[in-house]
Amino acid sequence: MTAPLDLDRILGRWLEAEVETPAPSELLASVLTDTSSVRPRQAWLARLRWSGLSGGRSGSTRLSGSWAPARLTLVAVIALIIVAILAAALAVGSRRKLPAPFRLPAPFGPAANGLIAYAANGDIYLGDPVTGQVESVTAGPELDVEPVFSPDGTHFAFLRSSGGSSAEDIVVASKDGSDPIVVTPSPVTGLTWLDWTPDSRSVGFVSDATGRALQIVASDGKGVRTLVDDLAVDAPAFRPPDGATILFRGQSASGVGLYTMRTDGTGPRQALIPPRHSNNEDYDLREPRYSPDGSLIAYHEWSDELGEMRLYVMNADGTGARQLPQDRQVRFQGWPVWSPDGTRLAVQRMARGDSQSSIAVIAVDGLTPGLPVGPSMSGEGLHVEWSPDGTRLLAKSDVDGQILIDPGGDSWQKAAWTSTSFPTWQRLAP
Amino acid sequence: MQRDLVLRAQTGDHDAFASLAGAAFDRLHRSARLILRDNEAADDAVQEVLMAAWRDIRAVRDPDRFDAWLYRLLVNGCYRAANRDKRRRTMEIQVTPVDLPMPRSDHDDLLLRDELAGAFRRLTTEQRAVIVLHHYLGLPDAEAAQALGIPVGTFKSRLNRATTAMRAALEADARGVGASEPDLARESLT
Repeated sequence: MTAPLDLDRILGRWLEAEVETPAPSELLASVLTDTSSVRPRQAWLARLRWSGLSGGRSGSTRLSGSWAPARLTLVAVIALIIVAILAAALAVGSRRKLPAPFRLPAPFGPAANGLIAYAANGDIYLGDPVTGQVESVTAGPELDVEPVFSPDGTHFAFLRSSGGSSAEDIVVASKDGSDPIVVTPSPVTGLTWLDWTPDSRSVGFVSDATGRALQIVASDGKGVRTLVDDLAVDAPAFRPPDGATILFRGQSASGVGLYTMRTDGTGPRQALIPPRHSNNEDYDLREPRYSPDGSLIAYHEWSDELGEMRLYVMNADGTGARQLPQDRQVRFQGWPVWSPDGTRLAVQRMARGDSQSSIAVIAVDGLTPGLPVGPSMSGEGLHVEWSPDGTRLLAKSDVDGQILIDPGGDSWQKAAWTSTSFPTWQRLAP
Repeated sequence: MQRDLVLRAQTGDHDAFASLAGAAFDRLHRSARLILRDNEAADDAVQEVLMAAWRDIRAVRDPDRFDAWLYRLLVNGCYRAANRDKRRRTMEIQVTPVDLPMPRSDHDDLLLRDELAGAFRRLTTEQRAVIVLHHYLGLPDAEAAQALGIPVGTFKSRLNRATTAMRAALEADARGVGASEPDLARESLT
């Protein structure tokens, strides 16, 4: 008769015996040599969405005694201006309302849904959210990650590295993965942002290697130009519909502010929100976003006084800022993503005392509180985007898989595939 | 101490990261070898994990949970390595040569180790990861679940399934080679 084997008792000892040989020290030395030549990514790309807000980082409080009164005065003046503008708007009944759905020249506004591109196992895949079918569109020993579809849906850009190198090429390929072109003259280290220009002819990028300069490279690989190199730029946004203006958060010794400038490099740079310091500079004003028609900007702003991140919408010229509704128990509300028709924002929230984030949909007119949608998401960061037709939200954290969420309620479903990086939804322009 | 190192590394202090990496390296590599059953793949996975750890060190929201974060990178790195290289190479395991005369109990131990190794190898990468996190690294269920990116309940059921699968593989082997010697080995190792 066979004696039952008590695996629970013996597995630990057996596993230890299986790997008695020490790890090769030369491998560690090699890794440390490689890492010593690069810097950590900024938290934006590492998908860190908020720090330990309760304690704050050491040294992050830079509000000086002499500077604080001036800032408070400025805040008071701005608040008075906002109140005056809102009062005037209410008085004449001229509150701006977005027509829904409004029509914009392609590639902006609602469009048909295409495929979802994502990275898994070092390659790029296309998944069909309707059928669940998946197709690999890149292959080979290189590590391909972070695909981003062009606004016209005909190409995607992605990052490619090989041999364990942390330097990455930006590659542009047709929507089926054919005709890949390395568009960067040499591999770039510490890429923190990558996106297409609205005309789908160029790719903008920011990297630590250049002190977070903002650069634009043609999608055919013919030429890189630098737009900003005197500020540390963070996750810019091109202004629809023509992309002639770019919006970005810039950081300098003066603090962080929101800036705009023309993408052809002409004209002065304007500070929509002048640089200032806060207790949460890592996340203050991060990832401002233009509405699909380019008339509004959604952004989040840290309040030192309240210790919370708050969500705002303002006109594209920096005027008329107004806070959107925020529940008292929510300490973080931000990372806004516009619906394709420009009437709603998908935002991320974290309640006080909670370690998980959730998603809510807020009407831009601010007349109704945000609607929680989908499940709570774990992990260090969360990526949310709308389907091109505005009927779904696509979400993924670095722990949870891709989730498709009904933006009008709490129904959601997992995607049929898993991925190691954040997805991008192909837009089939009308 | 580790918390300070993480905070320093997040500011770009590479020496601090080297201390963190040095402290974790052996544990990571042994775990990767167990999960992947392939030394070269383990080298690749751990190299990738440490590169990613440095690159994304600022993603660590709670420095006190650095180890948990590192284990999650390890598991994901192992999954990628396993998928990258479908070819299964033979793991180089240092064992006592079987043709040497040895005491009966040693022989029985070796027999059972071979059986366990064979059964463990038959598991999927995901099942091996579950077992390594629980039985080798000794992580509490909640931490192991976090490393795998799954709920605790799911982790428990996966651990149960992995253990059941391994037991089934052992029993299949036992039926294949005869029951007498494995029975003796069980008595010896347990």
